Amino acid sequence: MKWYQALILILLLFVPNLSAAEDFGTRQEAVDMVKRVKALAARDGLQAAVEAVNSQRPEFKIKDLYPFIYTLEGISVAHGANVKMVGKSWITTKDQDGNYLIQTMVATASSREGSGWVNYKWPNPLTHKIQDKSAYIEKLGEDYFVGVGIYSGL
Amino acid sequence: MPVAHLSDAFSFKRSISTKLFVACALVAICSSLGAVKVYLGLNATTRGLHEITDLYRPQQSAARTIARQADLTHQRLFLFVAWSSVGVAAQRTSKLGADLTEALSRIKELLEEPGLRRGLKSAELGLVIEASKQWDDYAKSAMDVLDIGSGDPALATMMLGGVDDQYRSIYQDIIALNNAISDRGDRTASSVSMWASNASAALIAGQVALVALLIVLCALLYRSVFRPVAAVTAAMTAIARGSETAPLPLSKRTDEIGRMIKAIEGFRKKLEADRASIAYLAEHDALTGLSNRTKLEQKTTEVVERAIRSGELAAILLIDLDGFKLVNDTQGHAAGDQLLIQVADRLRLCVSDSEVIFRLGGDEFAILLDDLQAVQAAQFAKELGQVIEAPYHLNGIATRLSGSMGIALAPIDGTTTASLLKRADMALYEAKAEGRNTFRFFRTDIEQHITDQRNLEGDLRNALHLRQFELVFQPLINARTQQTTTFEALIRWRHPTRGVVSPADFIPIAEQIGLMEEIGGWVLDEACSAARSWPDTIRVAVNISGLQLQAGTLDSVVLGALLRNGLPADRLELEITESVLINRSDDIIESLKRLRRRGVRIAIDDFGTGYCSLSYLRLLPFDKVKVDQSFVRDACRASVSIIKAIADLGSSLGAEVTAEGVETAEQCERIVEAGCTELQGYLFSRPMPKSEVSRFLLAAQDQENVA
Repeated sequence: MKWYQALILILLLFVPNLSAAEDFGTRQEAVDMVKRVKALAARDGLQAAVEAVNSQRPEFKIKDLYPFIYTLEGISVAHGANVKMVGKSWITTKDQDGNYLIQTMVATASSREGSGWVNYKWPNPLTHKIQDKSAYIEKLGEDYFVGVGIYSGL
Repeated sequence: MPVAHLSDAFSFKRSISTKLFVACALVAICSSLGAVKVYLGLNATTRGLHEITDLYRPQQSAARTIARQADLTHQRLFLFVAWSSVGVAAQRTSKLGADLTEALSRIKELLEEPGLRRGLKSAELGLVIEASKQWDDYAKSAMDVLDIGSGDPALATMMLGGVDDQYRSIYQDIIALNNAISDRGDRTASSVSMWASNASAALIAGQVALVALLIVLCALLYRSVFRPVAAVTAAMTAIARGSETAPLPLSKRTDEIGRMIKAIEGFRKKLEADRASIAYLAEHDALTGLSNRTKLEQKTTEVVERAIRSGELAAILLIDLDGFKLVNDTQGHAAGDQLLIQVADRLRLCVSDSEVIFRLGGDEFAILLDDLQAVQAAQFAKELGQVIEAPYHLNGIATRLSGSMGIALAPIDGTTTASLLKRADMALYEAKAEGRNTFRFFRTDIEQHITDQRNLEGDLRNALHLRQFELVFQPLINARTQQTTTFEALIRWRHPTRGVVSPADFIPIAEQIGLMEEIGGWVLDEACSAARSWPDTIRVAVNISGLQLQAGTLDSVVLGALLRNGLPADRLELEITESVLINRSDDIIESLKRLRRRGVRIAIDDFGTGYCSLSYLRLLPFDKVKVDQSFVRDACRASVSIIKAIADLGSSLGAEVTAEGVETAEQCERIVEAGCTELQGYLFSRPMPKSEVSRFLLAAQDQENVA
């Protein structure tokens, strides 16, 4: 890591919390939300599910939980927190620890189980802070996976 | 021909011009090789420098620009996310985003720039293409960050890690590209430096080789040309100084110098031969081959020195041929030359070393005798005289000569060449004066005598001019009538200090010094002039010398004298000595006959002493014989008989017979009785001056009248 990158990251650490702590979603709620997305996709098709997620329908916006759908190549298809992420490739994205989180997700979805928990760091849409996150991932159809993560502490 | 060709080729192969040509060719090749090498090296250097300047520098700078700008852009991407995170004014952040967007595409353009790719190897080109492709991905990701960052800086921050990975990958490529281009520049630069150093090495090597070749060339020139020329110059100088034996250098060489040396050698040999012949000619007489006067002087010095050292005597013997001039005048110069050659040959037989015989010019010879006594010299001279006297044959004509010799002895008579020669010459003079065909040693007393003679010669030359000559006349009396028929003109020389000099003393000298013709002419003139005043019946008799006869002009001289003085020819009588007439050529006899036909009377003088053969006498034109006075004075019977015989001969040939030197009446009676028709002598009259002639005639007439 170059010096300026380190500097910037240090600066980011000093950014004050802009919002008060809220209620965090639980692991079960996350798994449930994944199941809901999958159910919607199964019932109304992938496109319906994508639109539902992107439009942040209430059943997909609980506490700080939101679903996200990626192709197995790491391209965002739907995102419950930031629709701008849709259409972009995130396969090379890594967290502060150097963890290529999307790749790990792809690997989890592509595993024999087709689901699992992946731990990483990600900005909290409510606090705009990067927090430890644990996301439940499940494969969606042949080419996608869907996931919902919970933030844990600061 | 083939042999000549071969030798030509051989000499050409080794000639200096060929060597020089080869050496110059080597120099030219060496210098051109060096120059070509240097030229090529400099050319390559120029090309390399051109590549470095025009190609690699821009390429390198473009690659560096890309690296710098990419780095800057990447930093700005982080700055953008930072500004987004800390909430820098949206306007500034979006301006930075716009700049970033522009920078991303500008770098893409730079990567696509054809100039960057020119001259790159495929691996390097691969790097460029890869970097360009990767830059697309990076730019896409960066644009995503910009997109996200404006709304969600935290997420954008998340993205930076991946983007940074991408950038690192590109950055490595760009650095690799930079290095590749730099390396390439470095390689070219090192090539350039190598070419340049090669060129300079070639330059130095070529220069060294050139200098070495020039040294070789100079050495060759020195050895082949300058040194031999100096040696030849030295040899020529030696030759010019006259040392013909000085060795000529390098004569074994076969090149141009060698040939020149051979030519000089030939020149020197010719010079030697010429010198020898010049030296020979300078010291020898061309006609006889004997040594000449120059050689005599040189040789005399040597001989005299040797004589002084050894205590022996040396002699110098001068020989003059008596009668040679006569042969030369009567038989021609060719005959004279022949005679001289024959004399020289005889002289050679008399000495062991012919180098001691010399011809001094004309009919004068000299012989140098070494280591002898005076007696031996006399013996030698006597034998030499006999050798010279033996008859010669010239074109079938038997000729006689004799030699007069003068001898001087060294060191008694002199120690220098000049004094010896002078004294030998005096002795010779003496010998000639003594009647020729003899030899004389030099004596101190003859020196004075000869000096006198020489003085007399000088006086004689002036005598005619100073009117010191005069004629006296002695009458010839007819024995029967007792009357004077003729006056004989006799010359007298009245010398201012010596008194009257007898013709017997000065006529030979006059003959010797060539005055005889002149004096003879004067006598004729003077006698004719005197006779004109006499009675018509009385003649005048004039003595004619042998030389006057030989001159061949007697006719004209005699007739001229007669005409000038108006004297009839029959009143002139020419007296010619019998001995002069002996052996005279037909020309002279013809001349006498012509004069006689004109009326001039011819008398043979001193008859009876010249061994004239009677048959020869028959051929001679004459009117009178004069019996030599020795017979008249001698009273013995033999003389009387001879006079009688001559008188008989005369009367039978129709000539008068005159007796000279009649001094007593007794003599007169005897010779008249013997048959002489004419008388001359003191009994009748001494010779008288011209002025007394008429008185004498008158007195005689008176006496007759009285009688």
